[in-house]
Amino acid sequence: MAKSIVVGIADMNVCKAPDTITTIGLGSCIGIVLYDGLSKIAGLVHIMLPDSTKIKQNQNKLKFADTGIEELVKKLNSMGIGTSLLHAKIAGGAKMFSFASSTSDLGSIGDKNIMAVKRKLMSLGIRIEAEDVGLDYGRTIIFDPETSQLTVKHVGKDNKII
Amino acid sequence: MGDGKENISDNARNALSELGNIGAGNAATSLSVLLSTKLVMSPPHVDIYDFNALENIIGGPDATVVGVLSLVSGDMDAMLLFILGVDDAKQLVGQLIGEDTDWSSEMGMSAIAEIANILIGSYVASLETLSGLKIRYGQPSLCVDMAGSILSVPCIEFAKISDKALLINSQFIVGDKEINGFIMMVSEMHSYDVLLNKLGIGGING
Repeated sequence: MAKSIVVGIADMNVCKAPDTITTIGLGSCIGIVLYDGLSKIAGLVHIMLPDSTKIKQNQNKLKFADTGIEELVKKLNSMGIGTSLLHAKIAGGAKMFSFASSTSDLGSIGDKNIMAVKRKLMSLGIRIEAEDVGLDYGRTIIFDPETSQLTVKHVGKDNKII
Repeated sequence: MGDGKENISDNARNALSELGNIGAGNAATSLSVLLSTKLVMSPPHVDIYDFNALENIIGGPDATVVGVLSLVSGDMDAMLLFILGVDDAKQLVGQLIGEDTDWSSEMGMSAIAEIANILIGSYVASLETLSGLKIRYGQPSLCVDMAGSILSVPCIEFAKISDKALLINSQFIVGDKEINGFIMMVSEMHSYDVLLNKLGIGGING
């Protein structure tokens, strides 16, 4: 029976078809799916912050876009999938609350996460095949390695398949 | 995790609980006057949560909730987050402006934002009085979405300094309607230290 593997916040995992992989309630965080359509293996990492080098408390590599993606690529490499075989689909990076004037980066962390994820994937030569990022709503995502389809669910809207 | 953040001392925990108690107590009184009904408040919980455990306090990461967030600045930086489940939001709007008002209408939303504003205002006022710190709070912003998405906002702030989040959490029950709402104060660790220092306790760890 096909399982659905759930990835928590600042966490990652991998799955092989017919299993699917999911993460629930992405706000400003980003879910990055890396997959190989031939072996039908996919990995998902749920990152919170853009840059591990800007933060002292950076032992948990899966919290950050830069180190989180590196860890997931390493994991997939160790399963025999070369980086050049990997494709990416990403979702999240929303601005959940809006403030008229704010000195903190509270409102812009989603955008910073999106930029950091794209920069990291580009530097690794991994192509982003589809994305559903930004705007002002939360997302739950489910990736099916069988079809390479990413289903994005939002509150009060129809599911979107990218 | 070896970051020492789990080692919140009993003194610090008691002081933060008491602050939460008085803050939420005053907030509850304001709300009680507004709704002209009895309002019971549970004792606040002060605890350190794993990011992934946090969402389960409020009915799971994909439960739809109403969140109202206000930024606190001045002598301490913090976020105050008021969270209500959808059923609770319906009840609250019903009590405030009538059963036939749709909670998700503009009218309903502005009623919830106003309630949150009053709660947050009284919370901040008691913090100021007790600690002598000068604290401002900004215009609250409202959002209806998955609990996980809304909680990711304070979690991200925490993620910069820790792998866990410290919460002062209070719950309300309004009249006989059992409306459950949560007020959370999430602050940067150094702001907790500032606050606890003012209260004569060394800091979060001692």
